[in-house]
Amino acid sequence: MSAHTLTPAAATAAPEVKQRSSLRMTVDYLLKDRASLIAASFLVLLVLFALAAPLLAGITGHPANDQFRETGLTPAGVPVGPGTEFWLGADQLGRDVLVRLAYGARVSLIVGVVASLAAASIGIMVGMVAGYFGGKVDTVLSRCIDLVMSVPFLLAALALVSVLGASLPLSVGVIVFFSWTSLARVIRGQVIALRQREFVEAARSLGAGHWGIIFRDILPNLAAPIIIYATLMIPSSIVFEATLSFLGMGIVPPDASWGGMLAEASGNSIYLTAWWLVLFPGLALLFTTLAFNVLGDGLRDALDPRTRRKAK
Amino acid sequence: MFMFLLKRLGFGLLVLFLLSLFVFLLFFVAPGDPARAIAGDKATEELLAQIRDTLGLNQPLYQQYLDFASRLLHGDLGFSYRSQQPVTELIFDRLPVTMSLVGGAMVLWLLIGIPVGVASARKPGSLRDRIGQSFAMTGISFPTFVLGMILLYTLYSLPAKAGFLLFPPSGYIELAQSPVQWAWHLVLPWITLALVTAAVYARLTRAQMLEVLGEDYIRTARAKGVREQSVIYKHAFRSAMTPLVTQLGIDIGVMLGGVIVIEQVFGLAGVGSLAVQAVQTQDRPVIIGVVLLGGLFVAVANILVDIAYTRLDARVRTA
Amino acid sequence: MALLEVKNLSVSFPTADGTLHVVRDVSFSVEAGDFFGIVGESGSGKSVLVQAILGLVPGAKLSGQALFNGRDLIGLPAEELRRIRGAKISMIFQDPLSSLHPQYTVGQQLVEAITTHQKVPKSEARSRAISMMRKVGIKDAERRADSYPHQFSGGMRQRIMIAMALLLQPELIIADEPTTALDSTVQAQILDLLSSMQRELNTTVIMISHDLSVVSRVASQMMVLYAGTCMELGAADEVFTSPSHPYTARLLAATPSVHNTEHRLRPIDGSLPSLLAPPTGCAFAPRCELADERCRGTLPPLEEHRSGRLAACFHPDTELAAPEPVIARSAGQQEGAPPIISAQGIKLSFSAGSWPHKRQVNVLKGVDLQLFEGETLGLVGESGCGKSTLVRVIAGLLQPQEGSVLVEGQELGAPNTESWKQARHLVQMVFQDPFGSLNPKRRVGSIIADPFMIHTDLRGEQLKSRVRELMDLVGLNPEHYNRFPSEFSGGQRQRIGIARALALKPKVVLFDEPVSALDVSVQAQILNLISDLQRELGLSYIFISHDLSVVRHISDRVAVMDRGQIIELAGAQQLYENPQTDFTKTLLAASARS
Repeated sequence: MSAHTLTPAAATAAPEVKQRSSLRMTVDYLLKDRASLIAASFLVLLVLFALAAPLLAGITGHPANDQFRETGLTPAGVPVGPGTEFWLGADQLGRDVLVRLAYGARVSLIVGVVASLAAASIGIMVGMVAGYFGGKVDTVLSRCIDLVMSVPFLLAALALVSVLGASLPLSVGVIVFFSWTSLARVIRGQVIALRQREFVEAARSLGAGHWGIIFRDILPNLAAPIIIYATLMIPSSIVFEATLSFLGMGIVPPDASWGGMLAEASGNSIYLTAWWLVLFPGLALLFTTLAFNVLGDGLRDALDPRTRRKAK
Repeated sequence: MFMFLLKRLGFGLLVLFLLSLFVFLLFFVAPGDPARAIAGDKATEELLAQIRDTLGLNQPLYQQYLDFASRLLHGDLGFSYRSQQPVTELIFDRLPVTMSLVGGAMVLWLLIGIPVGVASARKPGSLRDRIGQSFAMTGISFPTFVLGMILLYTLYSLPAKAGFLLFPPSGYIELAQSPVQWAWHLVLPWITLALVTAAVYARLTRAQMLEVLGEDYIRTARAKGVREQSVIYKHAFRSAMTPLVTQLGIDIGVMLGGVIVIEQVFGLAGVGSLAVQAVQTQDRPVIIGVVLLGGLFVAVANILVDIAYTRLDARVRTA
Repeated sequence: MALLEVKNLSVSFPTADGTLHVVRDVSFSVEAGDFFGIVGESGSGKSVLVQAILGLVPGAKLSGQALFNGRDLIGLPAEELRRIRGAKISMIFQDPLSSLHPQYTVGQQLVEAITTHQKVPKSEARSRAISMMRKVGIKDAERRADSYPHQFSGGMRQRIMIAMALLLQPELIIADEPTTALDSTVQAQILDLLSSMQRELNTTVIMISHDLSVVSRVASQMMVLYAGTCMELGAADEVFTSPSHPYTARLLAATPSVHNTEHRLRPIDGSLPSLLAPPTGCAFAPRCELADERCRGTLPPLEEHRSGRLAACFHPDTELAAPEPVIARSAGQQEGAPPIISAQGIKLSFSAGSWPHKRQVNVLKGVDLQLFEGETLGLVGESGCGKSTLVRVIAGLLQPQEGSVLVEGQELGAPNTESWKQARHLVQMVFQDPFGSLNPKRRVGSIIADPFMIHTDLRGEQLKSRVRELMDLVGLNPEHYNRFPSEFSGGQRQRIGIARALALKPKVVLFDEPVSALDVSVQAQILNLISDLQRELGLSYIFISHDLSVVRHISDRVAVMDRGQIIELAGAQQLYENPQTDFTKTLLAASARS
């Protein structure tokens, strides 16, 4: 027996030692991982913050798209900073940054989650079919993946938006179209490896059909990469959306989005005096992507003992 | 091996063909009248008809595409609706800016990312590793424009307000004109782009190195008594390099899209900001030109990766 | 003074679930010029023991002493240890493909072994490397030095590893399972090379293996490890012929032999104790028939017993109960009865490579095979001969380009046709890898119930009780219905695979290397189960193995395959005693010697 096979799992296979279920082990590991815990708590707070957007508008008395030129701007037209009236300051049109931040959170989360789920579903299906059936099916699907990956996505997105006009559904569509490929590649690779495992052959020799094998035997074994990659897809979708909005090709003003808020701050260089216009949406964006990435990494370590052993 | 490269070249051409078809159809089916876009709102019907005729808009669809494609093959991308300049000229005027930006940043991110990744992998779990990983995690999470704006604010605006200029305001000085000025104007964009991308390389390098360091042949090298420094660089890094080169090719390929945001933030007049302007003004020939150039970049980068791959991997080379 | 003297060595690994005690208090000494064998099943700690001494196991905690020429290797600074590795002590590993760097030529790798320790010009190092390559039997060494590892065959790669280990004329060579990954004929050549090199260069060799007979053939001294403790230590041939420790004796009794088919195998019941909580007494006590209170409570010391052999046992040299004779099967080949399976003119080829280097690889070149009711047909051959492909054709998993398979006179037909589905009820298969053949994400009950779900309307309680019956039949505790495969040991998993194969009450079961992934002690349990089931249920078997003694033990007739064809087929006794073809003779000679 070589040193490499000396995993804890091999030792716990002995009957005397009670084996923990994989779910249990994952949860135990995550609970011990402080970074993942903090990230998860931040995301819970973020969701609450987004849900509470109308409530915040009610409490402050500042609906998101209303301009308060008397209270929000100084007589010289400069926005007022954080204070009792505007907790996180006002923007160049006298709108409440806090309330707009909360509505922006809704956009980011919805786009992030919806686009990731849709892209993940496409990626899983394409990857499973390509990997399982192999041959010509695989060649065609793999070439499609290569093709989509070869398109300079931000440029293509710009071209699409310039023709079809900016809108939320188009943003989501563009993000989905360009983000399913990486998961499809990963899943395809995993399925090719799984397909050669003897349990798939065993199922075949028992007479199980192809789709039965795909969904009953292969899919459950893909849980770990799916969870990890779907989690990591959310922050990149959020950044993608923010980038589109930053370039004025995502969410249509005056609706609030983090990218749009940063674009407005950057556009007329107002942020050089009103730092809060960059700091708050910038940090919101940074911490959100950071939280998802940290959580994704934590999940990877928890679900994949291979990387965990190396990390220790 | 030659056949393999030939196949990849064919695929690159296919990508370019499909991309040209995509942009062509996109603008053909799009609402709006190109003739009006050129002539403006006050143009007469006669003028519009004349423009349509010169542009070949009355021809059947396939004929239009063939014309479009044959002009493409001759390197003719048409004229900008706005400035009436040839699109190729517009792009080539701005290409040096974008190339300088990408080239300098690439050197930086490789010099930062790979050593950080190797250092992390040598002692996984150590303090050094945790610092390296935190750097990488923050880097991959930072949206480029947020980092750019923060750097611009802290390293340019604040000092400028205090009265001394650490970095120049936006703008681009040609390399031939003054290398120092050239670099000085590009330092902030370089750092921004490099930090964000170095994080990806640090993570990739670390993961690859850890993977390779677990291989049996590393154990063999150690059993031979090879020095640890040699084990890391000569044995492990040699194998970890292949995926890094692949990643580099991908990054160079899509860079044209990636620099759009940076050019926007730092007010650099490169190809990226040309694209943004073109979109804002509905200048279709320019958009088509930039998108196709982007596709060309990807195709060329892919072929370079494949060549590098066959040079680097003995198993492919001798197959 | 001994060349290597290990005193009270322990190796442990801290893990999330506690400390793994992999090696516990092992002492032995190797004299200069010895060929020292270390034998143990998986989990015995044999590889970790030697690799840890050389500082090649990251994360290992060591205690005790390992004196090499009187100098303690444990606790030596890393740099000092590095100077010893390769120069004074070199290693040969199990898998020569993964142990050689894929991106450097073998010449470069051999040269590096020299230049790491000696200041010599590259050209001189290269000529030394090439002459060593010649010495280990690589033809055209000058040119081959510029080839990459993947351009060599498995046996040639292992020769290169041996050349690398010999280059600096080290005082000690450690070979860790050097032949396990190789075919038996190649295995014999490598063992010959290793012992001739040892004699010629007068070095000392420590060889690690799971196979007692391989070690006894080449080693002068032998140590038997079990669960990280030393069980027995002495002259190799004596340990092999008259073991002192009951574990060694039981291990030998569990090993099938080409020569002896009169006796039933005697498996060792139970399984390896957990290394997280090793027993306080003798590690083997829970599985030992001689064990008493003293054995369980206190660790028996390693003491000298009969004829200078050392054994850690309170009941050494006890004769084991005589093995049971093989129970004769009532069924057998019936005169004139039609075969239950008949394969005719099976041809199958794969296309390999990609355009324009696409080529056809002919895996099966027209195979005819008949299986009669109640018999076991053994199928032997080297890796790549097509034996696994042949049973997959018979199982209906692969479709041949030419030829047909008749099951009870019915054409098997293409996958998913009605006749193919019917054949599922008649022919089933058991796979090699007990870890890979069970879906790790599904519970055992659901795995065994799969055939019923696919082919019958059986559901709910009825289904459950059928599954429990099957688990009982193959010797599994039916209570473990809800467990996942990872909670079972290798042998138990193979029982699950057998239960699944038997669910539809097939008449024929195809076994593809069903015991080759198992340790000897467990292998015997499974082989006995397979024989018992055949007798009870009147099954017919096709049994693939690369191990000729296993096949001899279990088969009525044996077919020898080579390069896609059956080259010899005869009754087991006849084939083993009077082989007709040269290939079979080589195969038998290699296996008799290893």
